[in-house]
Amino acid sequence: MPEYALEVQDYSFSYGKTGVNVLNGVTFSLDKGSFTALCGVSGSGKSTLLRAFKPELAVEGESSGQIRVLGDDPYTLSPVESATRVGFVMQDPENQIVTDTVWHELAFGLENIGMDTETMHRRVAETAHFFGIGGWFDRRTTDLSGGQKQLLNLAAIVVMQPAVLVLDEPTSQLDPIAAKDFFDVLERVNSELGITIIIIEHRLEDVLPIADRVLFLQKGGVLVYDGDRDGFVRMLVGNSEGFRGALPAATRMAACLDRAGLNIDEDAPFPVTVREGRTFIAEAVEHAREVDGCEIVSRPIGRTVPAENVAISARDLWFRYTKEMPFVLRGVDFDVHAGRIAALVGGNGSGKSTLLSALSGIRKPERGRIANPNKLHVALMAQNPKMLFVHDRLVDDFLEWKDIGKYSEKDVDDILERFGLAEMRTRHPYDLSGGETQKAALAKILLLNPDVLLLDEPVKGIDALAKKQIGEILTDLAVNEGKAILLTAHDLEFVSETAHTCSMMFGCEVTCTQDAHGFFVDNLFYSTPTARIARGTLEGCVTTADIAASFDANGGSDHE
Amino acid sequence: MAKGLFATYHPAVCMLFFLTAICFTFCTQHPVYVALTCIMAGAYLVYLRGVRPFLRSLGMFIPMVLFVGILNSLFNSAGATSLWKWGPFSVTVEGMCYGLAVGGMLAAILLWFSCYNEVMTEDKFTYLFGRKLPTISLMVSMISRWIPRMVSRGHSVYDSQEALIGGYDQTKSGKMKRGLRMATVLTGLGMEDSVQTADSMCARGYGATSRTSYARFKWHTRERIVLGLLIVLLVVNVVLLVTGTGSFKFYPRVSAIVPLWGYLTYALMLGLPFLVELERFKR
Amino acid sequence: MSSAVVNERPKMGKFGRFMRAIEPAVLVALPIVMLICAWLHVPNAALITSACAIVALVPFFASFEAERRRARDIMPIIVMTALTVAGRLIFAPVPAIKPVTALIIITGLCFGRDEGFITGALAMLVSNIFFGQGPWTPWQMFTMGLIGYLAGVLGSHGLLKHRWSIGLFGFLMVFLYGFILDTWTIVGFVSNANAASVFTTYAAGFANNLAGAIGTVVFLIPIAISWPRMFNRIKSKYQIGPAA
Repeated sequence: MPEYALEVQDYSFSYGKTGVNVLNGVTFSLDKGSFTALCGVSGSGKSTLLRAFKPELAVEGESSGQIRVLGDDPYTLSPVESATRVGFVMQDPENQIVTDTVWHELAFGLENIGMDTETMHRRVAETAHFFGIGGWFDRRTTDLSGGQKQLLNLAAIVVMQPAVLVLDEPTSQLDPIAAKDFFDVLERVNSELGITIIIIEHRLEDVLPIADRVLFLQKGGVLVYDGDRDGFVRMLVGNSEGFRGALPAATRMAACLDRAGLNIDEDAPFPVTVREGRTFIAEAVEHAREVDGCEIVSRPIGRTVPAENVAISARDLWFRYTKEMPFVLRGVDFDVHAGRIAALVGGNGSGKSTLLSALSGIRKPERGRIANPNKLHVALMAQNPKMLFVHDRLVDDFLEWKDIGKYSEKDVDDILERFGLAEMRTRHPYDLSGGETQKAALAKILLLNPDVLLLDEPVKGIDALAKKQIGEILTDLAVNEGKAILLTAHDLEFVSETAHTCSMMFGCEVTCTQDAHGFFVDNLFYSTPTARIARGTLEGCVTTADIAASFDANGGSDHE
Repeated sequence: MAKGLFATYHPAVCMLFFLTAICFTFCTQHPVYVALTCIMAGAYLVYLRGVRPFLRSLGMFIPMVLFVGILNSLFNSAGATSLWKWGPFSVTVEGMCYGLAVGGMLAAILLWFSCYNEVMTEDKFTYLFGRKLPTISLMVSMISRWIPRMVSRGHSVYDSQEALIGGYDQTKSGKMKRGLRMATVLTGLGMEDSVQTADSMCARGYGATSRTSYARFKWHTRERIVLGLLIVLLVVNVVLLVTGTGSFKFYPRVSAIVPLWGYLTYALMLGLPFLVELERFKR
Repeated sequence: MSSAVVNERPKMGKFGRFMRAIEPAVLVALPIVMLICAWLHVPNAALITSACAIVALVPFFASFEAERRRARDIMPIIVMTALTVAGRLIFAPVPAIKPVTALIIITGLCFGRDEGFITGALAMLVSNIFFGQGPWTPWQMFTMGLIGYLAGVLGSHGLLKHRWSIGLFGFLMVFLYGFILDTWTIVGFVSNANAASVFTTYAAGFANNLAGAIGTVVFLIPIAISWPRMFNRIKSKYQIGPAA
């Protein structure tokens, strides 16, 4: 019996003969039944590495070194062996689904490996039961939510009983609740079925608590860390590189206190979950008060919001797509203000996207009205930013509307520069990374010089760095150029850092609107992890920056 | 599902039944046969869909049925009893009878196809052809998955285009340009996404070996009995048809209709979906 | 990303190659069979010709099956077919354009005759699954397949390089489609057809065909150059189609 589920020996890879190495002498081995998180900045060759485990998906190029899956070179396996030994779940839940019904999707892999009908029925039934999808077994795949789709993709792989399960950012397109569900199931797959798991994931918040091993790839494809979670966290806390922003809120908070010298037990592991974070902060604050005698004052609650200056207002909106369908908006009152960033949060299907398209004027409400008194130019960015591009080169796409938008080539160059996309100007728009695509889409819309920007999920599925950049650009647009911005987002931390006001949508209505800071302080559950950690101990903290500030303000600096 | 028991039968039985019904309908213009098949198809469609939707689909057929019926009665000079003549147009009693019969036949075919559409859902169709045409039937299933995706994506591209650039040009040509732009986005993005779907298929062993299929339909005794009954009725009716029960002369004069036992077997055969419902009265 | 696994299609067996070889003959034979039926006043011509159309589809589907294509080689067909069928709904608010024939032609032109035929035939089949099957299904499948096939053949001989030639081809093909289906109606449902009834049938369809032809040309001409370029980029980027 082979000792390891997966062994990688001195593996290097480059695209073609001339290319630079994407992976450089990577060596590691995974125990059977382990749960490993593979981290790294974008462009560190993570996906390339994972794809190398599965010849069907491997990237074309030059490689050296060895890969063993359960002791065998994957290229020597028979096609059926190869299909079943390693399971692969990819990013986009939509694109992975092959067939039109749930039952057919579950059976698809088994049909491919020529399994007989009886065994197939049994396997499919077992798997459907394990994943709790018996209830939607006969549904059409189109009618599933994003989270259900991704669970189905996972089930459709697990039904083939792989020894190793490889996942490439499986939750990047899901909302936080669906992502949480996905991880819960994934943990069960690991602990109850004993399947070895290796996963690339940006949401360290979700993956670190369940991973028992972490690998970290540096730019250039060098494996710089291979060990347990706490060592990894300490490594990232120690260096000030960009990836630190991806750490869980509890860890960032602890790192913050650590730098302030408030870490009581230097040897205890860093907290990664909200619960661990709450214990940590309570002890730290207690210690600071009693032993060091420093006084910790609450942060002021609320944030200054730019003055009211209504750009578009909606009153008593009722909307439904067809007369047969239920209302998607029920009596919504909403104002969008110039010079402000407003955020709209809420679950899937709460009507956020519909409200955006109603405000843009393309959907006529059945009742109520939308007023745009100053005849402002409204622009809507749909959820999939790729839909904005039709040309072969980014720069051609930017020039597409130069006649109707009355802008010049110089303007295009300027905006490419401003958004840090100058290097990409001759690239195909579809070849950009997720963050670049979002930025490019925003830039293309800005060329039309709209006064009101309605952005549907502008930070969906992008990494922490790109998120930060987009946040800065939006702030600049609102504060310095006086644009009215309304965005929807599932990332509450992004909202708390970027938006001036925040509104919650629930049940097709806007239930409350408040300044973004106060909103998250007042919310008990629907709030940022930091707020949930700090509640009761450090009042008025919503972001890690708040925590840092509340210590800096009162003698925290003495400890440095 | 309120589709009746027959729809729960094995797809092969259903398929054979519809093939039989449609072929027989095609094959004879005998007024009694036409009337029977019309009644049976209509009754079954009402049973499957209810009266209102039935009337609605009937409304859609009428123009075509009328067109064919009139075409056959107007341009037919073969009849003996002339009613009216003008140039090439010659209306005869026989021609009109024939037109009525052909129109009825076409109506019956369309009705049977409507029943077929209700009963032979896409999963049954792909199941039937899954063995002989594994790739094509998988593709039909994949296309069915992609169509609603294309539709919803089409709507969102359309909306976002209207919101961004629609205001600049509301002329017809502007709308057409945006329509073409939408088609380009859908194709380009669709192709790009489809490569990931292909990867997902490969990851699950597509092409590793000959495909089997997850059969959701089984042969039970009941299926075999009904299939046997259908075959017997089919053979009897073929014999009757060939030996002359189904032949009928419109020209030069319409022949007389004589009562025959053959009509009963024909009605029995086409009424199979109702026959299987008798099971409900068992015990 | 591209797959490193052997990038060639498996060789077709004897049966598949035979089926592929008789395809052109079948394309010519079927319309002739229909005309013979008309000429000889064959009884039950509607049934016979429909059955013939189904038989005519066999070699195309059989050789396609025999190819055992890789997953990504069937994807263009999936995408184009889905777009064609969905097009009936999503292009409804767009004035004047008729995407169906145009999309099939562009598929045949860019991906080849087999893709053209299969896409045309499947588009009609699936469209009828969604919007209702009828006795016309086999003929619609055959005729639309033929159009895709012809586009592929002419394209591979370099005859459809210019906007206008593609537009003209599209214009003619819509009429070909109308002509074949109207002929089938006559052969199948009009007994003792004479000049007058034939003329009436064609005339009844003329306005519709003309609108379709114009809508197709309007759709085809703007995309005639840019779409093949777009497809070529995708084909080479993802190595779709037989290895060069």
